[in-house]
Amino acid sequence: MAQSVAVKTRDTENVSIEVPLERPSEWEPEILAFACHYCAFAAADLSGVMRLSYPYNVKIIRMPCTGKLDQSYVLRAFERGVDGAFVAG
Amino acid sequence: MNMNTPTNTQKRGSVLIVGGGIGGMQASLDLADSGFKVHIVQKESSIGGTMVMLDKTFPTGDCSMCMISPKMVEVARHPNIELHTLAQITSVDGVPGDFKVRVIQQPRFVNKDKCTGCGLCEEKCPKKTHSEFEQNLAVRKAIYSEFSQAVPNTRVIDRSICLYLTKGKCRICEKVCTANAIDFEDKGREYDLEVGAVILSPGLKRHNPWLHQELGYGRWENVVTSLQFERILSTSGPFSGEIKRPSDQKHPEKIAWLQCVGSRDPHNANPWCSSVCCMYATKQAVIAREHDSNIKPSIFYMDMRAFGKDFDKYVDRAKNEYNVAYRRSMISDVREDPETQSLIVRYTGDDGKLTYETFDMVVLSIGLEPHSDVHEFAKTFGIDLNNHGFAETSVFSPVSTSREGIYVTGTFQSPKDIPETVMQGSAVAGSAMSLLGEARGSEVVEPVLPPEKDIEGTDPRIGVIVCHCGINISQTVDVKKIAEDVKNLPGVAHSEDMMYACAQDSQAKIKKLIDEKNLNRLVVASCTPRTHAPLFQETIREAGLNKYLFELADIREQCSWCHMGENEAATKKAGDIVRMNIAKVNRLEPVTTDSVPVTPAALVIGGGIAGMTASLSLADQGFAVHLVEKDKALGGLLKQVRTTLEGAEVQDFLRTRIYDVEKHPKITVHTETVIEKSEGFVGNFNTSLSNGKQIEHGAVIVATGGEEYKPEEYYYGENRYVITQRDLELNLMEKGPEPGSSYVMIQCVGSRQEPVNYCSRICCQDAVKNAIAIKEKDPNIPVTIIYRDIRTYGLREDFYRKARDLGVLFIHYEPDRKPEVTPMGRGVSVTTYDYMMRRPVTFQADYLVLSTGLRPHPASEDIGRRFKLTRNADGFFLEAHVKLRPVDFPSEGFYVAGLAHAPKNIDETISQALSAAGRAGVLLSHDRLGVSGIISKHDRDLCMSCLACFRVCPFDSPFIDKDGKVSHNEVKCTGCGICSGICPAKAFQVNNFTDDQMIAMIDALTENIA
Amino acid sequence: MIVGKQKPLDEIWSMIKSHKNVLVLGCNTCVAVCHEGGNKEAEILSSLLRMRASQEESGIAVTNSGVERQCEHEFFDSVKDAIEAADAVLSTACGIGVQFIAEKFPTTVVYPGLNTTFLGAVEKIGVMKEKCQACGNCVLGETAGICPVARCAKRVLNGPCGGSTKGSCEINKEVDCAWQLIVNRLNALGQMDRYETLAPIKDWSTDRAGGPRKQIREEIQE
Repeated sequence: MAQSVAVKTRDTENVSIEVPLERPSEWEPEILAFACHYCAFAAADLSGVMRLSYPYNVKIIRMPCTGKLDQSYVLRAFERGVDGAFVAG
Repeated sequence: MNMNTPTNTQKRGSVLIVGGGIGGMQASLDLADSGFKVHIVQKESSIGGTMVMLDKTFPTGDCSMCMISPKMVEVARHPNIELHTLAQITSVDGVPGDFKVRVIQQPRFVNKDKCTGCGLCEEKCPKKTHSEFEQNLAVRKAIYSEFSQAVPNTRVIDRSICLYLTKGKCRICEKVCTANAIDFEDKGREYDLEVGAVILSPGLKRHNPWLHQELGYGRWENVVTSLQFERILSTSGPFSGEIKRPSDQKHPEKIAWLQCVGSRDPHNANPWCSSVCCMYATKQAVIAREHDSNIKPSIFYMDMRAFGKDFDKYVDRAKNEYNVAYRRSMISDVREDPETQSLIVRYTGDDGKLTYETFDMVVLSIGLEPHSDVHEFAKTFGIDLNNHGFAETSVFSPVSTSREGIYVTGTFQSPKDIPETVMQGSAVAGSAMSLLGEARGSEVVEPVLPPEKDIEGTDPRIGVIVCHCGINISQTVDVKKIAEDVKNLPGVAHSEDMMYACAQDSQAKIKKLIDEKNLNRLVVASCTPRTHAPLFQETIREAGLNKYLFELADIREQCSWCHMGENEAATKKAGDIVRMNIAKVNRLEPVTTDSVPVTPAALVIGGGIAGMTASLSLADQGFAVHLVEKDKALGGLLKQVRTTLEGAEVQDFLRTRIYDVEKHPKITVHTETVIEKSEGFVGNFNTSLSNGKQIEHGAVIVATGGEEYKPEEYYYGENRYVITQRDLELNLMEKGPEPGSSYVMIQCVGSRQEPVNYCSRICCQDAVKNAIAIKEKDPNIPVTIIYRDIRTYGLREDFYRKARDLGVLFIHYEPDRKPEVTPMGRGVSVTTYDYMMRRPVTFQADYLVLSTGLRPHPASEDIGRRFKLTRNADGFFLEAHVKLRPVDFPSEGFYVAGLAHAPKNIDETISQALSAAGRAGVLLSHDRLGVSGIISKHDRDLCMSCLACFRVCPFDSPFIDKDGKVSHNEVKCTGCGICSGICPAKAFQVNNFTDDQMIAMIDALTENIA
Repeated sequence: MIVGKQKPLDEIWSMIKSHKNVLVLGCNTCVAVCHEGGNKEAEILSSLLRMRASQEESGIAVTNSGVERQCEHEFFDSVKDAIEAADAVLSTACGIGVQFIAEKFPTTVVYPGLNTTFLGAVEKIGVMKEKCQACGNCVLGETAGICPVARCAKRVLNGPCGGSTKGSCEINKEVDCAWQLIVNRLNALGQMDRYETLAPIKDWSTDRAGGPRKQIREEIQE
């Protein structure tokens, strides 16, 4: 079960946020990236062209613009078990 | 002047563009988009020019490659543009409208029809040399492409170093190329092209700093050029964006930029100002700090020439937020400390004493100069050069060369930055359109396509093609396994692997498959959709499928290339990517694209020189123009100007232009008229004027102009001896300078300080112009100019020098120590602090002349509100993109020109007006305007008119309709999907990116997560 | 428009966690406009609750649906089955919707997903401001179109009070003094004479003070 701590936000309201879980060794996070067709997706292409490697469990979904991102996509990804969502645009 | 000079011959609907930098690309896209055939001749193996080498651009810090790369791709696949790389022109014959040019093309040794751009040859080539693109900071191979995003994406063999071509052995590239594209027998070719007009955009080269031995370039390793520093900054550059110095790869802390290397130096280098170095040095200092906050940048300069829109604010930010130290001092020499390889810079310090300061690295801000073969180039095209080797043009026709039908754009006309180059790119396009208007469409071919199959109600039958890309994909990803694994997925009717999916024969095979297997959707798993999707879309369209029933799964750039050696994991990931796209494609629906008619007429607001020039250019292109001016007469602010800095008579020119506008059959002039009401959208506006006329038009050019600041400073209006530069100009024209009198001028009155913190751009030249006029009449009259920075940028520097030669005294001041003025019986006394002598000095002058600068015209506010066009904090209109769309507004169909956009000179206003006319011409040349396929679709039944979309859409496509509810104008929509992200009722869905498709993709990608 | 604000997730979770099968029901009118309780927000909330459930290792099933307005009977036809299948409904409507469900579905547990905050206007996207208190006896005609009942902290009818400082209310600098606004506008309208007229003691019987209110439009009543 997740633990929470109380923190102060900018509007000095007390809110509780989760304490990050201990990271098991050998654990490899699954990351879903939502990338704008025009910039971040192009940058991902470029990293391939330059043969720059990054962990293979980063997978990219192409968006027409990051403005198209819907909260429900990110939530869906988390519900389905991804560990991180990366929105780039 | 009728810009459309009649000739006897039949005109050609094609244009030759020499030089495919950003200016040439802009011109080619504008022309090609409006029905002209374009030939781009490029000396190098790729288009792109200088801009591709830059890391970021000022003043917005946008990534240069990210901006230009999509343009290059657009040029490469435009059906009306033909690229001739490694080519040069050797002769130009014929008459305007009908030229014949000879092209010599050097051999590439790689067959572009066979080459798939996989790059294996480059990887295996054993021969290395310094990379020109990386400014010798990295190496390249003998078979290479200039840079990763090169267009065309075909490698070239450098025959000067290729082992086979120089020593007769190797041919490794030939052996590894599975596409058989290497052709050592390539001899190049020579051929003719026939075109209606020629546009020269060859750009400039950079000054070689090796000539200035005292600065140590080539001797001390840590002295680099500004272009080398661009590459050092670039994330895709030799150090991956980490700031290191070449000698020991250590992170430098103190970096000095030395300005004006090779510029403003008539004795040892070039006399002109290169116009861009002050700003790029500022940008480099800022970006360097962003990369590494330990860096302490210093910029050594003579005058800070931040004359462009929002440039002064950028420099202020560099000073205040990034701690960039600006030091007004020239460097006498740079020496290396042999132990540390740091550099000792010698200069005169603030205290007037000789100072030695050590820096870890020195960047030389090298200027721009014409290519060394410029005289031969000019001879080939039969055009005149000015005394500095730039194309000769006049202030009043800044993009026309001395030979009719041949135009010039970009830095070959004079040193300039990216937006002005882009602006001139559209300006030459507009000029060529005026010349060739009637031949539009005569040389372009429309493809004939079969009717689209109706797939409504049929279940998905998806074809999946998995590409080996030679071995680019298959050496890392098990392509056959993927093709096998997806066979039984829902919707998949056929799946196979192919060696090169993009090859000609594969396209034929795909078409056959669609037919034989009755496929109704296609997934190709290969390379990036950014470059290759259009190819496959065309193919399925030729096979009778709607082109939106396609998706490209990127398993090369985003899988095999970045997970090399991890075959199992890469295969698993590639499988996920393919499954994700199959899940999406299952849910794709055909997209029908609508079109709307375009009214071939323009409304031009403002009858100054910008509005009149744009009107004439559009009218010559064949479009009806309504020119609306609120004053009684045309002419605008120019009515008050007598001569230009170069000495041209402004009033003669203005009279002719007004006459040409008024008698042009296509132009209707509405004076003493304002806009009452305007409705509609791009291509279809309906505007009521205050004179009762109702006009229909497809485009709007906003040229509302500016006005001169009437100063409140320094007793202006109270004391008759305090006048403005404009008053002085008039006096000098009418009476000449008073014998025995004296003049003091103060610059930047009401400019460059809050709340008007921008440079008015014209005042330095006005002061220099008037000072020269006085001195030429009577050299004994003392003229003193008290200035902050003299901004006679570009070739205008000649006149600054001339003024100094004539004995005009220039004294610098800083805003915290402004000159103090005391009125006297006759004339004034002016006291200012002299930084050289380090004490105040006082001048008695008969006349105090204030350089007062420009303000946006008050009418801009109303026009801005009426058409929902944004203005910046200073009240100037905000263009769609500071760099690449300098005359477009974000709202389609609106263009800006002249002082309404920012302060500028007459030639620049004319360039921008021609540019706006060029851009509007592209729009108006279409009978109908196609709506893009990837747009947001609005479901009025779901919508509850909450206005969230209306408020957040950057393009104003949702609107409140006549029923008082939200409707959606798809013509304006760009498909960004911001509306669909914000809509609480889910009433918007973007074609090909609908919620169910996106969710299906997420689900498919996460299927194998525990 | 009725403005609401979603309750903290912890509070919502503690209300629903003892159930097996929860339906999050959005209301697509007022609270959708303020981006708090429309069908989309219901979808997001149910996703958050599912994730909470999985973190807490609870077997609770959370689904979502929505209707155009939770304050009219007919709209419930389409979700009747879903509501009856759930053992609890979390309504993201205003308090009206929650009570409506309670009345219509006597055997279903219903919880509020929102706090109904006030009657207000959309100042700009994401910013809602209170403008009306539904006092049942409008004085806006006398107060230049600015309501002292809703916008003055003290509901002063002959203002301003002594706490008005430089146009702000003493309770919070960010709150405009309603009476300063009234005076400014009367001035602009050239109606300062109205300011001189003393407002009589207000009849609060039409307000909540008179008990729950009901209103009948006889000619269209079925």
